[in-house]
Amino acid sequence: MQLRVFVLHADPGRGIEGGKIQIFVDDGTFAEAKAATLALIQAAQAQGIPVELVGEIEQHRPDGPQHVHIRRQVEERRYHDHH
Amino acid sequence: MPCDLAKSITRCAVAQEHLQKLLTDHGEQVASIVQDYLTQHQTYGTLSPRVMRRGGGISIQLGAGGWSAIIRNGQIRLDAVLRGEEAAANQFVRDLTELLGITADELFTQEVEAFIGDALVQTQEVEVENAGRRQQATVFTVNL
Repeated sequence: MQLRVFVLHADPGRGIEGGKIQIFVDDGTFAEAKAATLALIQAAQAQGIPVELVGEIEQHRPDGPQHVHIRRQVEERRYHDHH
Repeated sequence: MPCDLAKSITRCAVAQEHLQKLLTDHGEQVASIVQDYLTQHQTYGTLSPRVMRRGGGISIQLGAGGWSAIIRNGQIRLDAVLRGEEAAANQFVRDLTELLGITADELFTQEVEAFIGDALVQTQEVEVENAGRRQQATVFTVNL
């Protein structure tokens, strides 16, 4: 199962704080996606990254939840050859 | 990938204290970044800035007998400022606060990437729309 982890960057000049993440799961059922997301968060916490949920793990639907949309890609690096 | 393929969306955050801790934990690296920034700055670079680790913090001296400041826990404290220099001193603190915010953000991104480790499939630098505002983001695609 693949997850996309968005690390949203700070922009102090515009009052945007860092430390915010959004996790998207595109595969499987919602239950599987939720379990994978929780596993990732718990693994991060075990590694000393004190990341906490902001609200609930939400099922995607057209009228919400509030989340990021990619406007444009600046750069891409793939690691298939290395793993 | 369009978002309407997503099964689940989760918003998370670390406390700002964690970002401040990253600045403290990487004090040597942060001191070097601050030194480079001040040295290359159009104004501060002319004041022979000196940056060094001191007492668990980072001390900054601008010019002989000029301002001195200390960075501790991600916060900047400026020593006594002469009358008439308040505006410039405030600008200096704003500039350093912005630099520290960006540096903490980079350290946090590196921390997340290191955590993902060998599960990392792809990294993208993107611009996103987030609650009506454009924002830069790094997207890590992870194989679980």
